Amino acid sequence: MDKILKTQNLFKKFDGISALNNFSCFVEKNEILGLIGPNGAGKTTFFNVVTGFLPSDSGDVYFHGKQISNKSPYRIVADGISRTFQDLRLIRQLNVLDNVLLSFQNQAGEKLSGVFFQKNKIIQTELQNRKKAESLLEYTDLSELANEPAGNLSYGQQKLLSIVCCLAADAKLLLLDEPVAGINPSMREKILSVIEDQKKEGKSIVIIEHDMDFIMEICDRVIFMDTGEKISEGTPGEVRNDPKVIEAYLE
Amino acid sequence: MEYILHILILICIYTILSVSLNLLVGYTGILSIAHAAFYGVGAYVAALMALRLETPFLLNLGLAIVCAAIIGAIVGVPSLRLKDDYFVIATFAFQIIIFSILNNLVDFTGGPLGLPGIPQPEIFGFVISTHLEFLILAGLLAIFTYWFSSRIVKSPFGRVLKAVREDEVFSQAVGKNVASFKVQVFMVGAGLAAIAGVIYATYITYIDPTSFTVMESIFIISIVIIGGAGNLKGSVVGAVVLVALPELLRFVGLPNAIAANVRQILYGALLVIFMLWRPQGFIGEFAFNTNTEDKSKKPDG
Ligand SMILES: Nc1ncnc2c1ncn2[C@@H]1O[C@H](COP(=O)(O)OP(=O)(O)OP(=O)(O)O)[C@@H](O)[C@H]1O
Ligand SMILES: [Mg+2]
Repeated sequence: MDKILKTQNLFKKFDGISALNNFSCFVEKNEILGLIGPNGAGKTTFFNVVTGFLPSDSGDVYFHGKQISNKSPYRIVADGISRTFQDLRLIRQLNVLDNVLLSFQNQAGEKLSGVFFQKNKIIQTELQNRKKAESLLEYTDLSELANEPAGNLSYGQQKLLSIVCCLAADAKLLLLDEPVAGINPSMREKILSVIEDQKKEGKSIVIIEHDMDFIMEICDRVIFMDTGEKISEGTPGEVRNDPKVIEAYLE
Repeated sequence: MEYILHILILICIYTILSVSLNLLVGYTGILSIAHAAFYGVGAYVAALMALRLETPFLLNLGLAIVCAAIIGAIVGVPSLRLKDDYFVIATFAFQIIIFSILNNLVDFTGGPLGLPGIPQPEIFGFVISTHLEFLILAGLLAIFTYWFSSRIVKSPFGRVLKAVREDEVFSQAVGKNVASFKVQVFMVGAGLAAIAGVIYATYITYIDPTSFTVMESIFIISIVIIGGAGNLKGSVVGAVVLVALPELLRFVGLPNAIAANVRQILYGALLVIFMLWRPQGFIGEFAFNTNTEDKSKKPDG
């Protein structure tokens, strides 16, 4: 299988604390990779580095074989990597539909020249995007909330919406930072099925999650990390029973 | 009658200034206190062209807009990368620099004595000279500014501006080049402010640096905040209220010297009152001073 993402020897330190310590890994096409580890292990930092929000101290990131280290976040999204945030981000003042519409890439109407000189083209793409957005909201049962400010949604609905935004961005690789932490069981099921559907559509997904049952249920492969290092890697079962992992959790 | 027309012309000028500043402050959440500097750039470019080169009005107007927008880019590209507070200081510095240039390049700008005798606008052979004619010109340009701005804020471009205002990190995460959007809107704001400067220069026929100080910038910000940040109609209402209100003071019979001071106090008091009790202004949607969630700036934690 092809490797859609590859990182090599990533290092990142914060005030002497290693958040990434010679961290190398890959993500295969059409796989769901789980990234687990204790608090402060460096999982979120890994996402921040891959998506361009934080520069690594050294090391490389390759997406589809092309180096993307040091690219700006918006360019990385354009390449096809989208993420969600552990601390849940959306534009709460904009309504649900606008959040999704905002997430489409390459919009003619987001260019000033387009605003004034391509009225028809803008109306057309806006209509097309609106249709796509509406079908995404329907698919995730958020249609009825389309005109609500995103901030009025429940925590779980907001987490789901942030995944919908990644889908609207047409990402090939989704990086989901704790997608089901702190949400109710039925919403958990829904998010689980959305992620599984994405895999069926040929996307690749990396999930950070503390919920081990969720990881066991959905992941093809799991990486366990601690203090910025990869400690263990393999199928969910292998990693779970790895003595090094058990030891790390007991500490 | 002329007096009323004069007030209406001023309202048009300040509508242009506040609507254009609202694009920055209200829609994008970038607080610039350099708006009067761009207003001044527009006024001086048009005045100097008309006086020195005797070029036609419409060309001067166009050039004033372009100059202000280019200066906007030169100032914006480095300063818009700074965090909020530092950006405010950077625009303040720019405001001071522009004032010093206008004040000290005596040979070019006339220095403190300013530029007298600015010719009245001539458009396709028609000279604009009466108050009514000026009101029509100023009114048309105000309508143009409003239309231009409203087209922007209603477009997908405007949607990104609001997103940038609320959460820059999320905006980047959905693939928006935040820095570029900020610079673009800053250039637009600067260019539109220059229109007001051109009207002012050709209407009063005399300009000097004191019309384009930081106090003037703060006055324009007051209009935006009191009218309602993030709402273009609010800026029109704000301009009407803040320009007309002090004129009413005249009728109370205050001597001019005192009226000027009372006016300053009035603006200050109004601004404080609104910030405290109605931060969204008369009809704004964006409460300026409550947007202190600094979470919106850093990635995660
Ligand atoms: N922007 C930052 N500035 C300073 N230190 C940081 C920053 N981001 C992360 N760190 C530190 O780096 C280490 C790794 O943090 P990170 O957020 O990657 O952990 P994590 O594995 O996502 O943990 P959690 O499960 O709690 O989310 C921690 O010690 C954290 O305090
Ligand atoms: Mg984390």
